[in-house]
Amino acid sequence: MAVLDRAIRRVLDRMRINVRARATANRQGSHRSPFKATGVEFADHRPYVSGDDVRHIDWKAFARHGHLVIRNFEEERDAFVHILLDVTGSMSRGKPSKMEVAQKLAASFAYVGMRQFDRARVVPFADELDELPLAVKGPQDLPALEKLLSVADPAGPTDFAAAVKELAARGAPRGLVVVISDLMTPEGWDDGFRHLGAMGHEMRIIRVGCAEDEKPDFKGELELVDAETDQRVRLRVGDALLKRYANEVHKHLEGCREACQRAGGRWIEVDVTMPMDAMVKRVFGGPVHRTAAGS
Amino acid sequence: MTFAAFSWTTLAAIAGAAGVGVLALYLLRRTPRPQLVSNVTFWMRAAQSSRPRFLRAAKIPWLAFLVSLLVAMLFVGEIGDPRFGEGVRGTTVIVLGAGRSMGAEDGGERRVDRAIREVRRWVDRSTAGGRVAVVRAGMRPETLLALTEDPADLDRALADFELDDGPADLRGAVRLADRIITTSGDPGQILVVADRDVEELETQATRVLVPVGVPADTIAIGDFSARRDPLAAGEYVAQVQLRSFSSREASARLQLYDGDVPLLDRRVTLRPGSGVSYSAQGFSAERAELTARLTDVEVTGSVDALSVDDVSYAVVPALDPIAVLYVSPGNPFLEAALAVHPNATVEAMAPGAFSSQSVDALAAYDVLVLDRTPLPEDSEHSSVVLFGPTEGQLAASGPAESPRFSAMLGSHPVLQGVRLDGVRVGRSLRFATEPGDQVLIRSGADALAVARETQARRLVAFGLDLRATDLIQREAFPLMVHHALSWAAAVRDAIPLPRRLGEPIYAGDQTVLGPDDETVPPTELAAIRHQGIYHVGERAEAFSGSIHSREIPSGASGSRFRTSDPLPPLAVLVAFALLGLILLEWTLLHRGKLE
Repeated sequence: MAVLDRAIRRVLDRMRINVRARATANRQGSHRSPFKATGVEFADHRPYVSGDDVRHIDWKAFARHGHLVIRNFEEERDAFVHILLDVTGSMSRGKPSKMEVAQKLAASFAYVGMRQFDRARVVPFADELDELPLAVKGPQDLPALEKLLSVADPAGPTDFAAAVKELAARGAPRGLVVVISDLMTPEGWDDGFRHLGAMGHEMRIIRVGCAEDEKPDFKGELELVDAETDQRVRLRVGDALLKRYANEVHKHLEGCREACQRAGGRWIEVDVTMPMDAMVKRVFGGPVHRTAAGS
Repeated sequence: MTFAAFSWTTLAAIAGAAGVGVLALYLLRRTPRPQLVSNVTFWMRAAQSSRPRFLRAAKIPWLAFLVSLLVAMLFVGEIGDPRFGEGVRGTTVIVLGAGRSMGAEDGGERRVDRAIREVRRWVDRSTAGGRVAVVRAGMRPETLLALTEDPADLDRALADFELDDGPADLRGAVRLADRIITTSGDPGQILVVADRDVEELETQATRVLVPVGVPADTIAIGDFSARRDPLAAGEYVAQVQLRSFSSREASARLQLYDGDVPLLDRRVTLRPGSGVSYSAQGFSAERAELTARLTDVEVTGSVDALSVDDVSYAVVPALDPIAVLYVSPGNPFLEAALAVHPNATVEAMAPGAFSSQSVDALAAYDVLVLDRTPLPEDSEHSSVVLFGPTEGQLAASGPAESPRFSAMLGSHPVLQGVRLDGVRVGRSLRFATEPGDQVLIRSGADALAVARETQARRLVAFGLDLRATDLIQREAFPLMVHHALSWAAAVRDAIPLPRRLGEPIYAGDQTVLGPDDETVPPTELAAIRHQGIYHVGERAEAFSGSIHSREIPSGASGSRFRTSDPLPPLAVLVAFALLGLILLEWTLLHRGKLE
């Protein structure tokens, strides 16, 4: 896989996507679910009623107490992982470009989801949502994912709220929504996060930043061209304006972070200059040591 | 205020071009360069929140443009060489001092070398917008460089620039410069690069002094002369006067040479500002070429800044040869006295042979000395000295026995320096004088010695009988004989007058050899500029600069340009204004004050 090299895949092999129980799907998987059924994790006892499977009677408890009780187990299910990849024009900025980093992160989530039998799909969005591709369920689906990422050309404006509404309209099942974006649009993020939360999705907002967005160093008489809308603004840029601009961006990002947290999401910031392995550890929350509970 | 380099129209054109350039640069600077950003909305919000609160802040780009324009205009003005006053644009005539004092050393550098540097600098500047001429201010001002616009011409003109050993005629040079400017038809200025100013001289053109030189000490030969000693046949006396133009005590080694023969060599000490004279004697019938030289000059706490005044020259001419016919029956004292004359060729003859000599034969002699021998009646010889003439000659009025000298004509050349006190005379002839005769020795009313000078003859007659007097044994006798010969032969004791530098040498068709035995070009004979002994055929003439010895002009130190205006040069003020404006613009543009 060209997007993810061998070294990164080795790191990703040790990562895991943890999904809260209420956001799991309906197939058997590796995530704990709120349902009690056959499984391997003991949950509790309940009195035996007619019709229960006699194989689940706890005979040792019957011997001690003289009552027939049934042992309940937690059901482990899979999860839907919706990776919303920002492919707007602003993602083309930065060195390396934010798009390049975002593609790697999206592929990483898809790869880890595939390995733990989740149904992960990468959904590019700009001012509208692209067609929902098939979920990556196994290695055979990786070439299609890579093709999808390679043709994703950053262009067009951002309308995250519209993209979220369209996601809901297309009946996307409840699951984990990973939003990978630079968030360099002043509007729409609060509504989008709130809708996602209301839809029962678990959210992870991965903000990909670069120095050009936060601490630009160009000065002088400039015609600033919007990478998304091609809007042009003529300004004489100096130290004071740069400082004001940095404040504006910081204020906007703080607003997005608070909106994310209000919607129950998790806020993660990465920079394009970070090493890939460090970036992966940050977005996945560190390596997972395999335990009996782990897969 | 005027501009030296350009006319107003030229300057206006340059300023207009500079203004257009600044405007173009301003527009170019105001033309924004595109910069792709993620989202311009944040920039717009930032710009709105940081909108300048003060009107002047919003106008800073315009202010920067105006500052740039002002800087450009000032720069153009600086190029134009602004000056206070008027008439400094166009022609510049530089008067470069070439007098002896410009050879003085200030801090190891000759004044003329620094002056040439200043001239080159001025020519480089002035030829940018006008023409330049250079006048050499030597003893005789001359145009060193005609009006030119090419600085390279100056290099050729100054390649072999030499100083004169005499004083510079700065006034004449400035007048010449003024005439050059006047005839050029352009307004201009006279730039005097010298170690002193020319005061109280009105010129039509503006005059600016670029002074060179600082106060300096010098020990000089103030006078040097030599002449033959009238009281000592063949001897000459050289007189040298030293002057100290210093406020410090000084010492030096004084040497006098006749060719290679040393006459005087001594160490002398001079008090501050004092003078001292020394004399030396020499003996030679030939021409004496004398050199006085100061060496090893030591000035307490200072140095001898000028070397050209440490040497001087003088010439003592050779004695004219005199052919003497000595006719006597025998007188060893008189023969010995004649032999003392260093330049006399004496031929002795017996009285008998003398009577048979023709007039033409006698004409070959310059002087006839007749002792007790009568002068032929038909003799027309022009120079005769008679000792003990026979009665009848000069209308003698008979002998006098044991006369006493009662009076002598000491002012007559024959008796110059002769003392006859106590001379005893046993017998003497008394002469009957004629109108015009000068009685040299008188005894009462009797004339014992007479000098007669007519249009055709000089005759000296001594009535003393040399056999009956002790005069012949005295020192006065040979001197008296020498004087009598010289006067009778009309030998003129030429007093060699010192030749002033700047005077000509009259050589006719003869070749003139200079002090270095090199042929002096005829063009330089009209005014001799270097001291030394010049030879014209058999003649020698000494040109000495000692007569010009004086205190070295101190010039002026401090500012390079001394003008009548107390303000600093305008160019300096403009340069400071430029610097200030450039700093202001730098502050505006590069301190983030423009958004």
